[in-house]
Amino acid sequence: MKDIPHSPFHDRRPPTLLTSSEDGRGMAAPPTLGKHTMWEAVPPGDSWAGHGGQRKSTALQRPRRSPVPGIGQTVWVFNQGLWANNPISVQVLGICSALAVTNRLANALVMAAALLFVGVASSLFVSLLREATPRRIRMIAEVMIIATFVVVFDQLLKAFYWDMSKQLGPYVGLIITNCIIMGRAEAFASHNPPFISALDGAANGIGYGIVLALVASLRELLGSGTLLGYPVLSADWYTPNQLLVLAPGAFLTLAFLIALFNAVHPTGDERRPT
Amino acid sequence: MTQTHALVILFAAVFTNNILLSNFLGMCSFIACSRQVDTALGLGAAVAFVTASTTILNYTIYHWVLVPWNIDHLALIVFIMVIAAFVQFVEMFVERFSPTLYCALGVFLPLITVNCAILGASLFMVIRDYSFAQSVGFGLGAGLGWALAILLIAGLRQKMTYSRVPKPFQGVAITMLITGIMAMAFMGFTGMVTIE
Repeated sequence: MKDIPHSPFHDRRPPTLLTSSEDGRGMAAPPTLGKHTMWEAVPPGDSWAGHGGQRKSTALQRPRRSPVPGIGQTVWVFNQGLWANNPISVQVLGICSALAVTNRLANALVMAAALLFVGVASSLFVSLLREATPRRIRMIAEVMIIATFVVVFDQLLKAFYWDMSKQLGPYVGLIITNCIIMGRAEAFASHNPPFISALDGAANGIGYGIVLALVASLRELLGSGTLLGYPVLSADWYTPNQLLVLAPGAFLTLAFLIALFNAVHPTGDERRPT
Repeated sequence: MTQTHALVILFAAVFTNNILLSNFLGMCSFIACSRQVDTALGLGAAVAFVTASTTILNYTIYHWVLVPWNIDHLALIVFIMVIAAFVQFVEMFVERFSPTLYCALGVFLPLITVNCAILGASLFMVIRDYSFAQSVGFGLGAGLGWALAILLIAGLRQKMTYSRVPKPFQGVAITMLITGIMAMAFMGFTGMVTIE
């Protein structure tokens, strides 16, 4: 099971860390990932992660503890969040809101902004407090940090965009239990320095936003013939398919979109049995 | 405050406004745990119990503590704390008094804290401004509705184990597809009763 590149961070997402028995020393050729080899997928410039042969036999490598991440690390983080491990299309996390708020593009964009804000802020603070948080109450502490930022965003939305707040209903508040935010806090921010954690939060928020915008555009365009409220498909020749705006349409659209992603991006679903 | 009878709300929360099939709540654990009927039954029962209890608890706290003290903007934080504490308490209680049940439910309990159906039920209760009796009905109905949905889908998925699903659809995509069809079936209940 080596189809996913080795993470240069303490990222517990895919089970890709090599064990001591297979440290790459004895391999004739590195395993391939599409047209790249596995080692090439690791960001350049990190001597500790560059070649399998130099690896120590410990299971976890120490990440480089510099406060400012290099270009290679940044690119790696954004590639993971936006494409290789996109929170919705590949990991299928946090889809409650992805299904619920995508009946109109405007709602989806506001929701994506909310997730981006909460993701960046909570990853940053979870990471800043990672040394001070006792392991046993780590989850509760993370939930509290996330909840604080969700409340901030919720109150801002209520103060300045009351109509939008009404439309989104409980789904802004439900970001607290959004698996993406919890997952990134737990898998990434609690093991890595603050700056790269904030970037990781941003990457996942943007990756979420892109898929949300895609689903919402499809549903709004085909379901009511408009985009952001402006008529696009003329009512003269297009009869809006109401089903897409209703609940089943959300499930069907996302199902086909995930299937499409799986077809284009075959590493996506292989680790999950049916 | 709406005047709908609590039993009507209970019925509506199970069938016409199913929290999973029409409000999309609790999808993460729904997709992860709907492969087998046994697992689904255990998780469904646990979620139903916790949803009903925490909705009632949160109603009490919201209307007796937060609103009188004018700190209802903290509702989100308080609700999630109540849910986390309640789950922890249930875990300790069950472990002490029924080890068999603990072994059966043990793995699901941590999953429940972050199940958005439970927090969602409390938030809907506040948004729709339910009375106490209505909240009890809604909490029960939401939990039962979620359990019913996961059971139905788990039954379908178990039957589907040996069918030939196209490769890109294997796993999550086909689950979501059958959930969509199930949601369509549940749309047949629309109009029997309406809650906002």
